[in-house]
Amino acid sequence: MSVENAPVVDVDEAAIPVEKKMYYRFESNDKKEFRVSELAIQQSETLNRLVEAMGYTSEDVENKPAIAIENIDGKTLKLVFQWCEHHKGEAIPVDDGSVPKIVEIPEFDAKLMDIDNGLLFKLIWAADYLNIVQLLNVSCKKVANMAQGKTPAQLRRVYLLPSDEEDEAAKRAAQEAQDPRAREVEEEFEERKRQGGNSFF
Amino acid sequence: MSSVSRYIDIDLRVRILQESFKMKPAYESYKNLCKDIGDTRLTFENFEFWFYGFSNKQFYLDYEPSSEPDSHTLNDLPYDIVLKVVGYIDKSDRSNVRKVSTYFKSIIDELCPCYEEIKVTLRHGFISAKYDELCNEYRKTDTGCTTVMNGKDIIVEGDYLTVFMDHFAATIQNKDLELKKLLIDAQPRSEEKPLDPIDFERFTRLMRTLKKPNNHQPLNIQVLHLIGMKLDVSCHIMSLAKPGLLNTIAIWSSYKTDNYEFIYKKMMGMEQWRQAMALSFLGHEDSPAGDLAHAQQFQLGRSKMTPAEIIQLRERLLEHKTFHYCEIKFPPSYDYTEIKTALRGRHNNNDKWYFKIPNSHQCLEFSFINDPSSLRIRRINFILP
Repeated sequence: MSVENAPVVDVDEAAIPVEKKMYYRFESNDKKEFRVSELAIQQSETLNRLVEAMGYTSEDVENKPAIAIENIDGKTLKLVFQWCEHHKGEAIPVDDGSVPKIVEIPEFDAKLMDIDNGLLFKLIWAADYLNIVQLLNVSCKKVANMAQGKTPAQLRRVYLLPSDEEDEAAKRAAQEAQDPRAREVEEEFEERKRQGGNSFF
Repeated sequence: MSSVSRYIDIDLRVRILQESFKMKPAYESYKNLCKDIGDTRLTFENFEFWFYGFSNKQFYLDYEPSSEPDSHTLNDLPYDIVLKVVGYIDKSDRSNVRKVSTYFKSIIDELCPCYEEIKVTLRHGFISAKYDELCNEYRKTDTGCTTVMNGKDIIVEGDYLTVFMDHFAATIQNKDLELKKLLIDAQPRSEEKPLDPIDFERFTRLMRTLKKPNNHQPLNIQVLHLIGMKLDVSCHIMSLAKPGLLNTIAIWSSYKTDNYEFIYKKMMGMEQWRQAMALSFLGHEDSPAGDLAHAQQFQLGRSKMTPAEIIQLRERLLEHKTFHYCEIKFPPSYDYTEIKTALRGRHNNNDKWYFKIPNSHQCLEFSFINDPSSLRIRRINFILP
């Protein structure tokens, strides 16, 4: 490049080295890879500690294998990292474990969490696992808002919860399915008790 | 979290979708479907997954379930997260969440205990604390304390009153407690064995240690009923409640302490006492009726009343804009002659006296009752002839 054609750069500005942003690579349990900025990672206490402990250089993050997050699937992790990128640099609230404070759900978060309940619960689980305090706050708040004006039956449907009876019945059904002899043994035991025996043995 | 295959054939999906339209509970719908297809084709877990998915319009017949970790209900989340979610739920919705299942009832009760009534009863050798339908009993034993919690015996080391107080204080001092009525009864009935004086003193000392939640937040109680307690203890418990919200106070006790006059005066000046709408003060038969006459209704016990006092009370009640009803209890076979003479009002043959309330179409009705002796005064709509 000739001197004439070279871009005009202020000497002082040119002297300042441009800080290269570092993007870490993470892999979900279903082998989906994500590139996440250093600043966004700070939203997650777990990941932040992890990358600090690893002490990767810019070359390392490119050359070494992606950091595996074995407990979270790609669909959920995508939402987590979208959230972290959007909120990077924001102050992280202190989680003192007390009764929740007043939490407003920003528009971006509301759109991000416009997902089916199953995925929303996974997002909460991931936010807890990765220790992303504010994501956990807004996602819990979103789930709590679903309870507004609902009857107990509606709440069971919304939160995908069985009633006590259903829960018991399901446990029984699972137990019976696991051990087909269980009922027979139980009946035999009851019969022996009726006959006056104190112990099955 | 476990990985479970949720894939089922399309014909089963159609059947589950049809079941979801019937708006029946999941297990009932599952059993209904099993009658047709048999028990082996579909597990309840898989049925539930599709059933709730269809019910909540989360997916359709062509939904492709993945083999992702199976954490798709609120129940699957860790306990502290569920606690956090419930913490965000509006208080008005919590009563319905409480009815969802035993698990959620326990969470709500831990987070925001809400009782209609807590009743504490001290008797010889035991104390019970009834939290609505749940009753805990703490019995004195040679070795320590037997606690009966909701019908189950639990042996707890330590003094029965201290064990009780640990539980009771934890409930009372919970800043999220919602409680309508607190009743503490330390006065055995005539047919019951009298209290051990040492235990009563210890109980008194423990009650004095009760604190407000966070040491400053008043208790949200509407009704306070204290029986057989020393006046300073009653006064202390009353001071924990939020003035204005506490609308009914009943203190029934004949205990007198050395500094009784001072405590009594202090109690009468308390905001809780002054702002209550209904007051009952029995056992101390010399307290002036005027100390209760600001309430809309009140009840007090007197050994006697002078004509001057009754006239003074009448004048005050005639000016009282919101007075509704009061009862003054006297000893058996009380002689009302002096009072009746002093009243000099219009009366009928049923021993009832009437006094017109100025600028109204109402009057005060004084009724003298015998056996048990009491004077009842009420505001009534009545046009005097």
